[in-house]
Amino acid sequence: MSERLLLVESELDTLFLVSQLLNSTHDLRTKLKGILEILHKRSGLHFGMITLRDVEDDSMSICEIYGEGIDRSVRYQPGEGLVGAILDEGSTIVVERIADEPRFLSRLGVYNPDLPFIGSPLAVEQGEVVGILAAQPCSSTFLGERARFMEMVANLIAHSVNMLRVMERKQNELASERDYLKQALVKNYRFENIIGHSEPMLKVFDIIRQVAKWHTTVLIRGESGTGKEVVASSIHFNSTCANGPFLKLNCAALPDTLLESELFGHEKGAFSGAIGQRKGRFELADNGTLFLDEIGEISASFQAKLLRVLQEGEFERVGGVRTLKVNVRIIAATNRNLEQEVAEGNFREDLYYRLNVMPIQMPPLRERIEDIPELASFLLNRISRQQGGRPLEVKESAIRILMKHDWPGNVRELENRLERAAIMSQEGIIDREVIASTGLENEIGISRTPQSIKHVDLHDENMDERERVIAALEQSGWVQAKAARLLDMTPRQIAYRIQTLNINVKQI
Amino acid sequence: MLTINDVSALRRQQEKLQIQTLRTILAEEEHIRSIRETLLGAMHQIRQPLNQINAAIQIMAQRKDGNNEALRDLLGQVQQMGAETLNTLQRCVPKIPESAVVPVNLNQLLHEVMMLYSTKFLANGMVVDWQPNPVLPSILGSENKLRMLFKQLIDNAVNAMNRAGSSERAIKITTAADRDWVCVVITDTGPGIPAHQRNKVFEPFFTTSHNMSGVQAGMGLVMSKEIVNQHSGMIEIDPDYQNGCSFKIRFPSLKNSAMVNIHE
Repeated sequence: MSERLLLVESELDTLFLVSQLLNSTHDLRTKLKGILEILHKRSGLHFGMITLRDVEDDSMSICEIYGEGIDRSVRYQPGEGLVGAILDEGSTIVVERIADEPRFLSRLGVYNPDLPFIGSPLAVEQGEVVGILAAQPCSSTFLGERARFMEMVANLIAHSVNMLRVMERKQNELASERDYLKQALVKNYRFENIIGHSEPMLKVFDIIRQVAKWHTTVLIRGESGTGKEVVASSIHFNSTCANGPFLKLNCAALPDTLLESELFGHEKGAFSGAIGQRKGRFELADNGTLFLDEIGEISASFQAKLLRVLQEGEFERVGGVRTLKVNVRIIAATNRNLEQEVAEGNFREDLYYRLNVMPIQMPPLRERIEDIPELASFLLNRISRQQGGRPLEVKESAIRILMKHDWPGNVRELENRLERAAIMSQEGIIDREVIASTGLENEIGISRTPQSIKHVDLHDENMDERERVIAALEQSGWVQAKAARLLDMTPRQIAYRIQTLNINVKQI
Repeated sequence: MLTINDVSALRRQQEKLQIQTLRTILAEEEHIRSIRETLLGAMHQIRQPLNQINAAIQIMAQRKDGNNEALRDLLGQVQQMGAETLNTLQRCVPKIPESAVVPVNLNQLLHEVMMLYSTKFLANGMVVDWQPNPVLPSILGSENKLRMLFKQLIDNAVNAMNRAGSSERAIKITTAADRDWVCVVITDTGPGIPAHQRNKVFEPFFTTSHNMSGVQAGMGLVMSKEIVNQHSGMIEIDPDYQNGCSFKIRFPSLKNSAMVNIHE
């Protein structure tokens, strides 16, 4: 009698420990491991094992087992062995002596055949069994009590085990979704998706094919709309860090102080409004690529910080003291004449050299007019997909006009032009008339002679708001982000002004 | 009257011959590829300092710097000689023979590659665990290039296990279909690749073995990456795999892949 009392007493103690562990903040797997250890050491239930039922085929795999050197890859098919029988019956099975039980397969080889074995189902709501908890008692006395105790523990952990199962399933789903999206991106940014067979483009292809294999800094130069971002993307997605993150930032779109905290991150309280700690893009792009567009627009102090990252891979968060180290490939792009900026003292010479390890010059569209037919059909294909698969066709007569134009806005202008033409043509056939109706012919005469934009002082006090915004837009080639910078505004502010002042934005 | 001729010997002879031919073709192409990658890699490394010299010349020209005439001339000469060297090297880069793009069943192709190297596996005491997915969609690609890809990855696994002197030598090759993709996983029981080198191994000239020399050194995975890229695929090293190295390769399956053009 007293022996039985002692057993029950110790079981109560164990139960207390188990409940304590379940309430702790450890992750689920550690908790389950801990519980099996407690069972093994404190209440003589040896080599406890938790198996989980697979959602798809009802087979079971080992989730946790106490002990070293046990083959954890064992799987139990439905109905197979004693473990399968517990799952089928949905109730606790007690075996007095393993050697007498024909269903016991001893696949793990850890259980003593002369001792008993107890297995309890882990049941959640509606009697669904998600797995089993099994162990071997150290003696065959009081089997009833021990079985009852196993059931109690099984009831306690059933919910946790189920959570683990659901979480792991969700994680797998997310991972496969992520891989799927990544692969779709890779497919979109193959080298073959950069169009062109002209001499200057072939040179570009040669360089980007090689440069993608290495972890070098790349500087992409070229007028706006020549496809600098497309090139940056395909370098990343064909590089050794294609599985890593790819982040883009337009340096002209943000004022200097914001740019710094955006790129380097900031510590809590670094400036008013810095409520929490924040990771910068350099940190987020670790083991990946960071694309810095409009690198020519950044301030002197920012250039110094950027140089340090390029040289050492080191930086500090704004307001932080800890030096962070990252492994990021930088791809920078600009349409400015950097040599002139260096000569004028606006751009650091050392940074200029650092960036020029691998320059790629994107040719403007007017220097590769022969690529226009191919580009047009590629872009039209994409536009057709965007417009819900509507069949679109471009005629020779249209191509002829397109090839006469000067294309100050390069490929982007060509795409916008085609998109407008596609909308204006009812049958989806783009010929000379449709192109002419977008106003292209009128422009061809003018744009042949280079138009010199008069430099307007944007801070002239006599100028009204509308004039000022238009002048800024003209100077920036109708790129709103750049115009915003000229006026010390955010892109949102300028977009708001364009709307309220009713400015007709010239489409390039 | 019935006459029976035993042609199985003849068949075996034919098969052997076919395998021999394949092996020769692969060896030749591998040679060409490794020369190609080595040259291209060297050119890339020469190009970097040249680009910087060029940048310096540009700046001097922009500043109309009159004091350093001699230096500018010298830089100009260096730049020109460098450009000529690059041109010479470019002419030496061998072309890879074009091969047809056809629907390929990866199970069959992998089986072939394993047949080619069965003697090598035996000689090295390797166990091959081949687990093909019985229903595998085809992919669009070049058979020769894909054979080369898997040869490189298998070589890589064999070398890794030999180098480490692993007692358990097994290569597991599995294929699977996952949504619109066909996956191949090649796992070895070698020492594995430490986390900070997982991207580096695909860079030219990178090698984990220092005593290996010759043209081949450090180019195997560069070739693999290149071939995977040409097929719109992805290759990665499983970061969670602990008992060796596990390469996962994925290709878009035929039913939704657009036309593949392979340019070298």
